[in-house]
Amino acid sequence: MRARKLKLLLLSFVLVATVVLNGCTEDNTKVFRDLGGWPKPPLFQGNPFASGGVGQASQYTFEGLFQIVRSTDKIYKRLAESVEHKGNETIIKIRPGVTWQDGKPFTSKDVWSYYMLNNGVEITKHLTSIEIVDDTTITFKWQEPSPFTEMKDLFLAQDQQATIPYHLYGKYIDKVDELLKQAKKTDDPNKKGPFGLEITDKLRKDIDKNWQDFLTAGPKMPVGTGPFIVKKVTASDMILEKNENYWKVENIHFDRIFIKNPGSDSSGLALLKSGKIDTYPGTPPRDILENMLATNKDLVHYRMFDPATIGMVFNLDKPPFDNQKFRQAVVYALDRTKIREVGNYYGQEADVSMTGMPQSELTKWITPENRETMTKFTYNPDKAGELLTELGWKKGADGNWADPSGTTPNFIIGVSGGWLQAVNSAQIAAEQMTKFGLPTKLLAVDGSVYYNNSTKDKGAYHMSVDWVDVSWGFMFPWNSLRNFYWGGIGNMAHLPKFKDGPDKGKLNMKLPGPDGQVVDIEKTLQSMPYLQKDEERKDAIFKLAWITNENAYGVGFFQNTTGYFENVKTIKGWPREDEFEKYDRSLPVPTEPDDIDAVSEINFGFGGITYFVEGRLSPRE
Amino acid sequence: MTLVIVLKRIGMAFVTVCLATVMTFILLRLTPGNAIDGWARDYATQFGITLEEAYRRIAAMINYNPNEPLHEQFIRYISGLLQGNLGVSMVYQQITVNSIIANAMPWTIFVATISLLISFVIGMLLGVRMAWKRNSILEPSVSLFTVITSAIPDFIFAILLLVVFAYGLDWFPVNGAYDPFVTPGFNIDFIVSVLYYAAMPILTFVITNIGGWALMMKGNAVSILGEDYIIAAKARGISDSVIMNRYVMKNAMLPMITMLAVTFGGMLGGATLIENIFQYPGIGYFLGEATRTRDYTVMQGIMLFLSVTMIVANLIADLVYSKLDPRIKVEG
Repeated sequence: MRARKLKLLLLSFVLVATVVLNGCTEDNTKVFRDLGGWPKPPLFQGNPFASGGVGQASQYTFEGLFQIVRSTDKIYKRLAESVEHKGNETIIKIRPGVTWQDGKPFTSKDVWSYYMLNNGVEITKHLTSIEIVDDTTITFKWQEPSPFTEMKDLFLAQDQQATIPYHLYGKYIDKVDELLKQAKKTDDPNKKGPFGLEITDKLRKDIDKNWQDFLTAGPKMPVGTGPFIVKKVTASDMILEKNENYWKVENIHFDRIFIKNPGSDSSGLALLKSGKIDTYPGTPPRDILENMLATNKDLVHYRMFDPATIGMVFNLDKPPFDNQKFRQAVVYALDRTKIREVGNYYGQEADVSMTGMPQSELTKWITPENRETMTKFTYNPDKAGELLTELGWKKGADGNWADPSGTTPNFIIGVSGGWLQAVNSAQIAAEQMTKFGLPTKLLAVDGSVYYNNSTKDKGAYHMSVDWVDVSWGFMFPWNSLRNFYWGGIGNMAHLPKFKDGPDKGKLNMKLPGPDGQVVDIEKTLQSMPYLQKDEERKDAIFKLAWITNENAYGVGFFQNTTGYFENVKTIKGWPREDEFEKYDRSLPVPTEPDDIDAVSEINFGFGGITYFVEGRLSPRE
Repeated sequence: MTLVIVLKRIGMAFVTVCLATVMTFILLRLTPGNAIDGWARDYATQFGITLEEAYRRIAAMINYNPNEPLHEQFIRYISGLLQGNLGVSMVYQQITVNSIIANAMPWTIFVATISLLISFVIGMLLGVRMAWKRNSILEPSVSLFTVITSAIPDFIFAILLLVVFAYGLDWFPVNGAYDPFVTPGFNIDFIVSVLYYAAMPILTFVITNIGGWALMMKGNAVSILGEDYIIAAKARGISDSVIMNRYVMKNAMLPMITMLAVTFGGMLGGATLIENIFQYPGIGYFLGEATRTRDYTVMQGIMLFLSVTMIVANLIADLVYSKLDPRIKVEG
């Protein structure tokens, strides 16, 4: 009996000691506690281009010549000290004395290396060459015609040029350089690859093989030039330490970054609520947001516009969605307020169908007079009924509409099942259409089959819910317009394309614009980066937005409002501090330009770690 | 048990393994969806390249050619298997499936073994006591506990434990396998940390498994209590504790040995949800991750490995059982 008691006592002691000992290991001085994901060891490696990359460590470890705030297009210089546009050349001076985290100097050869190996990035399609002038000077030579100056800046700013150090990957960089030298220059736009070169199938195969080899050759830990160095990676935690050799080290007020991998959104919110992390991205549903702020008084939530709209595109290959009036009728039949309340309570509804650009950008690029000429598609079921009647549809005694042949349709909305915000919005849309008399079912499928189902052949769905008017990368509306017309959303809409001939695969869309003149969508989109005058660009943007809206290729449910929770007890330097009390720590989307900039930049997804590099954030003593 | 019977059993196990190999290969290829679509869209956004360029790069990156005829894929797979090679991850180009299993398996075995032993021992003791004192409060209490723990999925318990002990009371870590500040190796800090981090997953397994063991043990013990030798032992004045521990428990345990092996095999593969909730880097976590990314080679390798584990566990239980209980006659 005594022996058993002794054993129990010993076991209890071990358990208590385990808890106590483990509670004492964290060093919490000057620490910023973030959250994020990364491939777990043994999958983790230091090459940011390999599968899964380096996860959340990327923004702390790697940087580029510039930092773009992608929701405002504001550009900060990082490793670039100066930029000069001279004719068809852009000359960039690199900050002297910058080193990689392993101590080797960062030079213009590293920038050149980035573009040689990563030659699929957008800018290379507009360049003839990149030339190293000396260790700190590099020249980008543009093809003719060259993009307008601001566009050049955007192309340069969206790349992270300090990610492929020559001293680590020289073998692969030299190999690709050798391969690219074998390619011939071409003026044929259909054959033109990076740097105006024609990449034959054989060369493409060799370049891809080299890229594959590069991906498996990374160091165990990332090597960048950023302010923090990855020191340890486990399944649940990542520890980064301050890079004492950082070129702006005086601005970095944290010794360490702890990153927690929560595994799910709900775990992340629980970590935030219990004070275990200092920041959390996103704007959860209203009740959760209010509960978070009520239970943890140290938190402040900032809301900001996401340059992205959740909406629904119509499949033009599936009648009756090939009919413009029918599509317009469906848009009128949807009460977007109710959809927005379910999908994103704080989101912004539009009064147009969709325009190929987020709602918040319309006022920036389209004059009020021009906006007036765009048809308003606010909720109007009567108008929807009128349009259907004009098309010969009839409403039956059961409340359902039947087409001129007497058939009542059964429509399907497809959506990626794991994306709750879209699923919930799509569910309301399906219910509203059914209630209006167009029976519609929602099909929420696995994300890995959704896109293929939606785009393959004639498409499996009549409508697909996704990010529709969306501007990843930068805000100049050409980005979101081409994303719609040339990208995945256009594929979901099954926009008409040439099936053969020299223009095979290009848009076959010549449509009347606002002034009645026919606009060739493909040509207009192709010309936009080269329009040197601001008025010309605005005119092209207006024409495309107008055509997109009138043709109702889809309906934007709401522009997403994203946000960030910040812990203001542990960290200081967050913006709009004087308004915390006024808004009870739940700050609405800013309207003043300075506030818009300041709030956008706290979003790591928009502006990287600008707040750290600019020295705005520091731990509270 | 004769050598012939043992060989027959091993032969049957081998056939089962072969069938499992063919089934996992075929079924995974019938699964809808692919690894490229979602990945390409993310990749295009992350690296500022067009969707077409992202597709091209990923198609080049991925270690899988969907256009390769099925029989050729199968032959390549089998020839790899014969050399002990489960293949290379489709998604993580530099990682072999063998290395993923080798890294993940110790964590799962560690948690599964401790959980199984704790729940087995506690369940056994409870079961015998329930059988011995059938009118006590213990029996309805354990039955109620069993109903609750059987009805509620184990991952719900995992979440509840997290909410109470990790987020609420802050007694245990939220997730992971060990403190990132300790150095992995054979040192006291690491061992203590591993135990501490494993506490919550272990507790989840224990809570959800105890009830089953207790009821099974109780059923076995009740039938043994009616045996003549127990009545004789009582008549000889042998103490209750000796009868319970040496007569009842030992004999009631025997049928549970088979279950122990089978449950262990099942736990290795059935830990996916719990390991994902605790971000515990075991085999279940990597299987879940491979399923999410449609990494067919990793899924295939892990599923085959788990099938083999289960088959071997069954075989061992089968062979050992007749040794433990001489009354069992094994038919050829």
